[in-house]
Amino acid sequence: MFRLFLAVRYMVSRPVSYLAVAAIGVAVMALITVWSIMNGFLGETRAMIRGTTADIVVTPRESQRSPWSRERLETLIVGVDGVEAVCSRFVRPAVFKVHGTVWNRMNSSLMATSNQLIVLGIEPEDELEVTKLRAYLDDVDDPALAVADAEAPFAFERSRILDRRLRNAGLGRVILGEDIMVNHDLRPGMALELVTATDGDPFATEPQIAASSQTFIVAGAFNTGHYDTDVRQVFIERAAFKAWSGVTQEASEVYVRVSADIGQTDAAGLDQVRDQISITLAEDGIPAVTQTWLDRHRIFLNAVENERNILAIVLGFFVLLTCTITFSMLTMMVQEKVRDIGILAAMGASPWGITAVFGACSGMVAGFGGLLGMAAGTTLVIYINQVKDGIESLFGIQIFRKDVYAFTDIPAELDLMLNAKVAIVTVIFSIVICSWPALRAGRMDPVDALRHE
Amino acid sequence: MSEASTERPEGVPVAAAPDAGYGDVVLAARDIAKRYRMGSESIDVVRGVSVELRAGEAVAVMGRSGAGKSTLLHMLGLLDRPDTGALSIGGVETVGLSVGERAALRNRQVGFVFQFYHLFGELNALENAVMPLMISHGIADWSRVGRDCRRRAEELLVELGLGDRLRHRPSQLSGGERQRIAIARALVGHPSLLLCDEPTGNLDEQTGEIIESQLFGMARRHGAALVVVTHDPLLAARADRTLHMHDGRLEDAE
Ligand SMILES: Nc1ncnc2c1ncn2[C@@H]1O[C@H](COP(=O)(O)OP(=O)(O)OP(=O)(O)O)[C@@H](O)[C@H]1O
Ligand SMILES: [Mg+2]
Repeated sequence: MFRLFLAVRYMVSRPVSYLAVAAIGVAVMALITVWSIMNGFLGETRAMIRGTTADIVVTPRESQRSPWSRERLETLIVGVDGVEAVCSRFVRPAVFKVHGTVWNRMNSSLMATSNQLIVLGIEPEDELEVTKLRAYLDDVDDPALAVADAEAPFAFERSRILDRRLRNAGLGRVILGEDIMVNHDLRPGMALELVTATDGDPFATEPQIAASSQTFIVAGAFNTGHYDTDVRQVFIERAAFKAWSGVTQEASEVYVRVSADIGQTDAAGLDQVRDQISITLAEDGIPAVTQTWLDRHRIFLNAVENERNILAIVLGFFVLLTCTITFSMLTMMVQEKVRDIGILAAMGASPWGITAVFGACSGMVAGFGGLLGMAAGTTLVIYINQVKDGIESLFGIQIFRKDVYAFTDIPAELDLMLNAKVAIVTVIFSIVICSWPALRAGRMDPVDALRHE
Repeated sequence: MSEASTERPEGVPVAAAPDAGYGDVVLAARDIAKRYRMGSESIDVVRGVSVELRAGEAVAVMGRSGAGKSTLLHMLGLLDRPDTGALSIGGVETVGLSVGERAALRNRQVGFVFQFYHLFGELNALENAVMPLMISHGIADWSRVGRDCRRRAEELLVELGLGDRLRHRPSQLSGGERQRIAIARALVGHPSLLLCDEPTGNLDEQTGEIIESQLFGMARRHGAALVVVTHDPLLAARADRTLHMHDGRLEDAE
C-alpha cells in the first residue's frame, strides 16, 4: 500500500513532476496530431487520386503489325472477370486562348503556365459509367458555372453562346475544371481556342510538327476538389477531339471499373484483374501497359506515406526525449530522499518495495503525461478545423492554402488504437529508463542512508 | 587487531537479562561482531557482543562517541548484518534470512526511533505514524484494515498528547512533537523491540525529559523491550539496567 501512497505524495508535492507530465503530454499530443493529419492527408490524397483516375488504366500502344480497334480492345477488357465497365479516352496536352483576347498575354510568365491544359476526349455516356464525372459536375461551387444538364454535359444551347457570330458555327463544347474558369474569368457561353501539336506524318523523312487550333464553346465546369486537376484538365467530346487533334489512334487510354467488392478494398484482387487484362491483351497481340490506380500513383502515395513515417519517427524520438525528463526528475529525487529510503528500510520496507515507490513515480508521471497527451491530441484532432479557423481569424493568416494543399479543410484521421499504443510505449519507456535510479534507491544500504547528511 | 573478533575475551560477561520479573526473551545476540574495512585498514567496531532482552525490559546503552553504539543498534534491528555471531528475534534465527525476510521481520518485530526523527515531510502526523502498517499490508488488504490501522496510529498519537496535531506536517511541528510522532510510528505495529538511538539528543533538557518518560511509559505499556542509546546519565538511570559500550564490547555497569 505504501508504494503507491508514498509515490503519489512525492509526486503531488513536487512542481517538476507537473512539468514532466506537461512535457510528455505535449510531445504525445504532437505525435498523435501529426500522425492523424498525415493519415488524413494520405486518405484524402488516395481518395482524390482514386476519384480522378479509374481502378485500372490500360494504355495501348499503336502497332503497325497488329492494329487494334477500339471495339476490339473494349470487348476484350470487358470480358475479363471482375471488370464492370470501360471507357476509352483521348489525352493530349494543349494551350488555350480565350476567344477575342490577344496572344500577347501568353508571354506573361504567369500565363505561360496557367494556359497549359490537359485535354481529355471522352464519350460522356461511357465516362459516366466508369468515373465520377457525374459527381464532379454536380460539385461545382458556383452554380453560374455549372453545366446545364449533368446527364448530357456537352449539350449547350446555341442561344446561350455569347458571341452571336459563333452560334451557327457548329463548334464543339468544352467542360473545364472550375479553377481554370475562376482564374481566367470564364463563363458558360464564352469561346476559347484550344491549340495542340498534331502528330504529323509518321513516314516523313524530316521531323515535322504542326499546330492545330480550334474554337470551343465553354459548356460549364467540373470540380474534383483536387486543385491540380481542376486547374489543368478540360473535357471535350471524343469526336470533337479527333477532329481537333487529327489523331489516328483509337484511344490514348482505357479506363476500367472493376466490381465494387474488388475495387474498394482489395489491392490484391485489383492486381489480379490487372494481370488478367494484361494476359488477355497479350494473347490477342495488342501491346499495352496495364496499371492499377495504385501502380500509377505509387511513387506519390509512397512519398506521402514516407513523409508520414519520417515525421512519426522524429516525433517519436521527441516523445522519448521528454521521457528522459522523468529520468532526471527521479535521479534527483532519489538523491534528495536518501534519508526517507533509510527510514523506509528501518520500518521494514523491502528493497523491491523501495524500488517500486520510485518506479511508481516515473510510471505515474509518464502515465498521466501519456493520458493527457492522448486526450489533448484526440480532442485537437477532432476539432482541428475549428482550431485552425480560430487561429486564422485571430491572426488574420491563412494556415492552410488551397493552392498548396488542394484541400482547405485539414484532413485528420483518428487512430485510437495507435494513440493508445503511443501512450503505452511512453509509459513503458519511462519505466524502463527510470528503473536505474529506482533500482539504485532499492539497493541503497539502509545504514548509509540513515547516516546520510 | 587482526585476531578473530568473534572470540569473546575471558572475563567479559554476557549481558544477560535478569531472570525474573519480565516476559519472554525477545532478542538474543551471541557474539555478534562488525568490522569496517577502509582500504588496507580495518576497524573492529563491534567485537563479540552477546545480549539478551526480555519483553517489557528497558535497557540503556552508553559509551563514548564512536564506540559502536549505533552500529550495534542497527545490527540488533536487522538493518545491518553482523559479520559473525548469531542473532534471534522473537525466536527467529536471523542469520540465514534473505533481505526480504529480514525486512518483513523488522517490520513486524522492530520499531526504530532516531535522533533526527526521520519523518516524511510530505505526510502529516497520522500518515507518518501509520506508515509501518502500510508497509505490512498490500493495497487489497488495506481497504479492509486501513481504518483500524489509522485508528491504532491515532490512539498512539492521542496517548502521546498529539490529538490536536494529527493533520499537521512535520514542518509545522516542534522537535518534541516530531519525536513523539516517531515514537508512535515505532510502536504502531506492536513491535516486541523498540530501538532508540539518542532519542532526546536533539531536544532541550525539559522536552527531552518529557519525551523520555513518555518513551519508557509507552514501551512498558505496550510490552516492548526498549533499548535506548544515550549520553544522558539521567535517562540511563530510568532504565532497568545500563550497559556500557567500550572498545567494541558491551559491559554491565556495576
Ligand atoms: N560505513 C562505515 N565505514 C567505516 N567506518 C564506519 C562506518 N560506519 C561507522 N563507522 C565507524 O564505526 C565507529 C562506530 O560508529 P557508531 O556510529 O556506531 O558510533 P556511536 O557509538 O554511535 O557514536 P555516537 O555516539 O557519536 O553516535 C566509528 O568510529 C565510525 O567511524
Ligand atoms: Mg550513534
